[in-house]
Order: sequence, then structure tokens, then C-alpha cells
Amino acid sequence: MPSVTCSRILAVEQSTVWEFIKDIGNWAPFLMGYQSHEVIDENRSTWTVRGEIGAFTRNVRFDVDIKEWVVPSRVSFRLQGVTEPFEGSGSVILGVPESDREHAAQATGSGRRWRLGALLLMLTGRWRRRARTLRQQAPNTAETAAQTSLSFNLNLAASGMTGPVINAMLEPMMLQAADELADRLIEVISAGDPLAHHHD
Amino acid sequence: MRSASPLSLTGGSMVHSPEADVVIIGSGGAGLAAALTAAEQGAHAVVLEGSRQVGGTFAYSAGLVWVANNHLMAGSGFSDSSEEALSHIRALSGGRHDEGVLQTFIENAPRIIRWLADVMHVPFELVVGYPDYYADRLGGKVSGRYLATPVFPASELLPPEWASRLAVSPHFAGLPASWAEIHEWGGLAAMASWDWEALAGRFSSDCRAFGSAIIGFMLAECLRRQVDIRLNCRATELLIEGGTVTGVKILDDSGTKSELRAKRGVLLATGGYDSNDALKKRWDTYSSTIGIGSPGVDGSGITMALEVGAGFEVLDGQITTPCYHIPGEEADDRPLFRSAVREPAFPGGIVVNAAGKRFADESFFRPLCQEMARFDVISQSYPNENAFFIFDEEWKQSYSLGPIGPGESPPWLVTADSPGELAAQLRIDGASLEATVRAYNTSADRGLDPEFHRGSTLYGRHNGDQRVQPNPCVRALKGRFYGVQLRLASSGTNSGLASNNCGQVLHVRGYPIPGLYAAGNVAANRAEGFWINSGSSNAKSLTFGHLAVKHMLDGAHKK
Repeated sequence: MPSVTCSRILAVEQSTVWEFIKDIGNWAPFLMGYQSHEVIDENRSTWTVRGEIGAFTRNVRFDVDIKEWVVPSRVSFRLQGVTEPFEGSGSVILGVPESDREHAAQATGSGRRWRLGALLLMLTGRWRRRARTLRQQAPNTAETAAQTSLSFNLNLAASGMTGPVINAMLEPMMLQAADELADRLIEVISAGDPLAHHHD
Repeated sequence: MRSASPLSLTGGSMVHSPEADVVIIGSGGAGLAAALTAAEQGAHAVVLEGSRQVGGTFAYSAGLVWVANNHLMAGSGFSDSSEEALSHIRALSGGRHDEGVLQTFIENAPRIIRWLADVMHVPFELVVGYPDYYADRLGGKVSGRYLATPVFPASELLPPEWASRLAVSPHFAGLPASWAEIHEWGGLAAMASWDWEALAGRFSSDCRAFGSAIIGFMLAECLRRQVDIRLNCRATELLIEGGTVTGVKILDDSGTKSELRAKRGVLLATGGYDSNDALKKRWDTYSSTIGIGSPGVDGSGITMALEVGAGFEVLDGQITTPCYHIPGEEADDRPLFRSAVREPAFPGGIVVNAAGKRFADESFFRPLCQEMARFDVISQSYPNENAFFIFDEEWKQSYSLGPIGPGESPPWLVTADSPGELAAQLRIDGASLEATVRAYNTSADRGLDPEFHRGSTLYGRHNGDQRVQPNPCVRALKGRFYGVQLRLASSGTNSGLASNNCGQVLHVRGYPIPGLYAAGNVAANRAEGFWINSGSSNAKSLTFGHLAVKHMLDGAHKK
């Protein structure tokens, strides 16, 4: 089963991270291939992402269902393909790095919106191929006092006849997608006033 | 990312050689066979490719190469002869073949394929068990005339920068299997039982298959032999002096214009015009096809040749197949339409028009396509243009519709409990479809199709499911019904430039234009007329690409 784990330290207060990611609209366009999403209720949503599958692209629609929510440290969820036979699970952890715990800021805001926003960071699809550039642009986190840890984990498994081949395609794609999304978040959130960011 | 400047073997930027022995326009099968021929003879050949990838129409093809009396047949117990193949095509060309071109093709193809295998390291192998389209006609063969290669390990045999420049057909993406293996695994009707784990391993190690595999082997040899291949470099106009073609004008991606002189000749290997809707409308009776071949195949070579007086020959327009679209799929910046050659032949399915009526033997795509394109002069319309593939629950549970595996039913696939309900969703005449299915089922229980004779040809039966007897293509439709709209796709063209048996382009007045050659789909199908077979276009491109350069360089070709 293809899986990816990605962790980052953001050189900003946790509350700042939260303020940004709690609103899906702030970062959804960062997803390469993002087409649309629809919130069904506090736990469920449906997303459409344009995925690159070998030499062609396809719109992939899937349902997201939150299975566990531990405020403000953890949310876990399951994915179920609608247009494709695949399923998956994952988790998002947002917190204070161990070394900086005494400076931790308290998370605030609506729990419902937080959990949805955080988990949707991880959804499949290919992001803009700007990881290297973004990494170069990211500020030096070691020099900043306030820090927030963001880590996520995702497991996906395609089934059906071509499932093994799709899984072979997914593994490198997921790694790159997670990496690039994290870098993009760092770039925008660390810029100082992330909410002033204009969507593409 | 598209490169801002042309790419060549010699580095990141094009070396602007003002002159070459041979200028080859296009990097498909004809172009690379020509380049290898020149390289073997020590000639300086330049391959100009307008796109950023190598392969053209050939790389988008299924990668079958039809060669009668090929060097591998005898060793596997198949008998064949040039005479049998010649009599076969003569009988089935509709009188539209050119005898000289036909003989040259049939008599030289086996030798050239063997040269590619033995000298140029293209590991052709027999595809056993695949019959000619007209296997049961005079001179036809049940097996042995198809060649293909094993998968091409791109990461092993190409430098990394060239692996990404090897075109991959979206139609075969994620299917790194050879034809020999496919037949060994039970054919396309048995896809569900293939070893998909093994295929996944090959995908991860960047193995290419089908037409892309053959192009890969040829490209690797071109690179070993230091062939000058220039990508993103488009020929725009032929240079002509005193009636002789002496070179080409070039436009690269950066907008730089230049000229390249050819001491011995210019070979047009640019493919047909299947991705150019304007040219299809100008030259073909039915022009509303969807191009599913290489998007760069836009008729540019034909246009350049017409500008210097070349003749154009109308020969059955385009090479068509039925196709369908999975909503949301795109490739090459256009909607992806997937070819459906085999699916309508499986038992438990039929094809109907918007009136709910069948109109052809669905087990052989040629009559199906011909009827889909037919203009009816009574109604003054194309009655079968709007076609639908209808299949039942057992079909759904047994076979794949392209990448949709048995039993999988994505939301876009229209389904209903009865033909009438299905018809309502597909905007087909419901009562008529009910009647069509009822009538079909009456005889289908006995494996018969008295109306259109599904499975009546050897090739048609081969396309079916051999586990179903007495007719591998016929079973009554029952249970839940499914439907998908079909369109007519174009993967190549038969009409094109008039050329002779040496590959020389003929002037509209009938004489060869000095210095100008054509090979592959850019040339009209004068070898075969109205006959066609899977893999014959590929075989002709390799054959005449080789022969054209031989003629340019030493005149050794005598036929």
C-alpha cells in the first residue's frame, strides 16, 4: 500500500498556522489539479482532483470521512474513491515541537473547521512542481523563536484490475505531492501575512 | 516543460549544421529507420522533429508490424511466401494498389526487418495466434505475420534525458506488456487474470511497450550511432532549385529561422493528417473523426510537398476505429478518446445507432467504422454516426472496457435494468432498442447472428472470447444493461502523397521530384489500396524509410 509521511516545522505561531489552514479556501488552490470540493457535513466532504496517471490526466472524485478528532493535536480520516476503486486513511498532527513546547501557543477557533481544513491538506493529486524553488525561498526556521510542527501521514490503495499498476504510479506521486504542499504552506504562511495571500 | 531551444544529441542547443547528406523530417518509425540506414552507410543524417518527443504516429501505435514471409516464421513452423501475400493484397485492394510499390513492399520488408533485428538490435519476436484481418481469404494467414518487440527498458537503454523524450501513447499508459505476453496470458478478453503485480514492477522500472517500445529500441541505436536528432525543430518549407529539392527551412521553438541543405535528399516522414481537422475536411468524405494519434501529426509534410507540385492520392481517407470517452480524461491537451476495437466483439454486446438499430458486424471494426462514417443519400445524413455500445451484466463482469476492469462500474457509465430504460438515458429510441435486443437474442442463444454475422470471419472470432462457444462473439444479452457512446477516431491516414517504389514523391504530372522522398503515412497507401491490416502501416514506414535513404545514397535498391 503506497504511503507517505511528511513533517515540517513552521517558524510561526501555531495560532497563525491554524488561522490559515482552518479555511479550506486559503490553500485548496495550492493542490495541483484541484478542481472542487463540497462540504457535506462536519465529518464528510467530497473532492475532485485532476490526477496525472501516466501519459494522461483524469478527474478523480473521492469522499473524505473524519473518523477521529482530538483537539487540537490530531485528526484521522478515511478516503473512499467515487470514480475510481481506491481507499485510504491518514492523519494530521499539528502541534508544538518538543524543544519549543514551553512557547506553545494555544490553538483557537472552531474545531469543526480546523479538522476539516487540516485533513484536506493531505488529499491526493499532484501539486505544482515547484518544490525545489520553494525550498530555496523558505525562511531559515532555526533563527525563529515561535515554531509549529505539522506532520501528516497518508496511506492509499487502489484496488480493481489495474490496482497494482495504479499503486506503482501513486507512491512517488504522493511523496512529491506531500513534499511540495508542505513547502508551499511554509512559503505562504511564513511570508508574514498569509491571509493576505491572493489565490491563484 | 517545453524546451526553449531545440535539443540535439550534441548538447542542449542545436548545432546549426548548414548541410547534411540526408535531411529526415519526422522521428517516427520511417524517420528512425531512415536515420539508421544513413548512419550505417556513414552518411550524415539530420532528423528534424517538430515536437519535444521522439516517436510520432509509430509511438502511438499498438506496435504490431505486419510482415509476410518474415524471418521468424519458418523457425516457428509457419509457411509463407511473397507470392501468397501478393495474391492476398491484389485480390483485396479494390484495384487501387500500385503493383510496383506493392511488390517492393512485400519483397523487401522481410529483409529490412531482419536487418533491424540483426544489425540494429530491435528484438522482433513473433506474435503467435493473431490472424490477418482477412485470414480466410486467398493468401491470408491464421498466424505468423505479426511481429512486435518485448518491452523496452527505457531507464537501462537510454540516457536519462532521452528517456523522457521517448513518446508514450496515452492509450497504452500503465500497460507495459508485450503482444507475445498478451497472447500467452489469454488475450485481451482475459485481462483480469493477467499478472498485474508484475506489470506494476515494470512500470516502476520505466519499461515501455507497444509502438513506444520499438521506437525506444531504434532510438537507442540512433544514439549509439551518433545520429543528429533535433527536437522542437519544425521544417516549414522545402527549398527547391531548378526543380530539385535541396533542403528545408526550419523554425525552432525560440523563433529562430534557419535553412538546412540536403546533399542527397529530403525524406518526409511526418505522418499523415489525422490530427488536422481542416485537412480532413478538405480531403475526406467523412471528416468528423477524432484524432487519437500523435498530436503533432498535422499534415505539414503533405502541405510542404504540395507546395512544390507533388501529387496527392485519395485512398480511403483515414484509418479509423470506434472510440469512447471517459469523462474528465485528457491527454496531449485534448480530451482522451480510447479506441474500442475489441470490446464490441466480445459476446454479450452489440452496437446500435440512435434509432436503436444495429448496423454492422461488430466483431470486425472495419465494417463497423465504414458504416459509422457512411453518408446516406436518401436521408442526406450520417445515420450511424451517433453510435452506442450496449452490453449486459455478464459482459460487465467478464471483460474490461479499456482501463475499467471487470465488475467495476464507475458513475459515468450509463446503466439500467432494461434496454428501454437504458435507451432513455442514452437518448436512443427505446422501443426500437428493445426490439433489436429481442431479435438479436432469438438467434444468439444458438450462437447465430443472421442479420450481421458476428463471428463469421476468422479474425472476428479471434476478437471474441474463446471460452464462449459455439460462437466466441455471440451470446444473448440479459440482466442489467450498460451503454457508452461511440465516436469515430482517426489514428492515421491512407490518403497522402503519391510516391513510387523507391519512396520518391511524384509530381502532380507523374514524374519523381528530384531530391524529395516520402515514407510512412505521409505517403498514400499505394502498396495496399483499400486493403489494410493491423501493423501494415508500421511495416511500410520501416520498409520505405530504409529504401528511400538507400536510393538517395547509393541507388542500390533495384525494385
